[in-house]
Amino acid sequence: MGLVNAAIILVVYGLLGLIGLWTAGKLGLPGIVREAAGWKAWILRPLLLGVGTGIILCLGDWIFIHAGWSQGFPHPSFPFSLIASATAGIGEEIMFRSFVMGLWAFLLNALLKRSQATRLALWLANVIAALAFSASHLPAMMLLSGLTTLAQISVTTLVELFLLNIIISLIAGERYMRDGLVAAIGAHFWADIIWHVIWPLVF
Amino acid sequence: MKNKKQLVILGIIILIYPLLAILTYMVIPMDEIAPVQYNPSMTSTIPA
Repeated sequence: MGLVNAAIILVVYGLLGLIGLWTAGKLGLPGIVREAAGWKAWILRPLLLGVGTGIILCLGDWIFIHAGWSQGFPHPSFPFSLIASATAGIGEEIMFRSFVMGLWAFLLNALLKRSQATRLALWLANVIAALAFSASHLPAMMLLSGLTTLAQISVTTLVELFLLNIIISLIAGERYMRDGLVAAIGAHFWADIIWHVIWPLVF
Repeated sequence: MKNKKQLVILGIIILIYPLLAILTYMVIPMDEIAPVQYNPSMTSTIPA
């Protein structure tokens, strides 16, 4: 069963990644890595941005909890949270940055072609991908919290979920545009390390 | 050549991902996920 799942993931995410690589080529984006860049763009900047974003997420969560607006979110326990952070970083970036953002940017760019608004198309696509990314966290959050319907989630918890996910998503999207998928994965991974690994240990 | 390098890196990422996903499902039992005890008073006001 595990191998079947692995094969399905391999095919599905392989196709999503190839579509993302194709749209990146059409949009003049770096794609997987910006080859002219060095280790600073591939490793150091994603690490610094990811850690900074992770700290912002933790502060946001702290504010929501202390204001009584939210009860916080479930996290995988340590050390499983390490693997979960790596899995989420890779899978979600292929799905939401490479595929969703790439495809939307390609379509919007085609629509806006007359005004040469590739930059606008990319940022609109980044916002669309951020909203999709945030919404994709609802089922897992409901499952882990033992909720069965959307109506059981408080408005403020929904606001927190969307706000925090939009922040990490927009930053990963900016990295994707500038330095490619590997940089976006790096930023997402390090933010998750702070959010899913460090934060539950200290809070 | 540029595209080949990009494809190789994409291939490596896409090979690592299912392995990590399998590892995640194999080693993380659901009861290892820290549950959030939901307070009924926090439940919502969103119309169904």
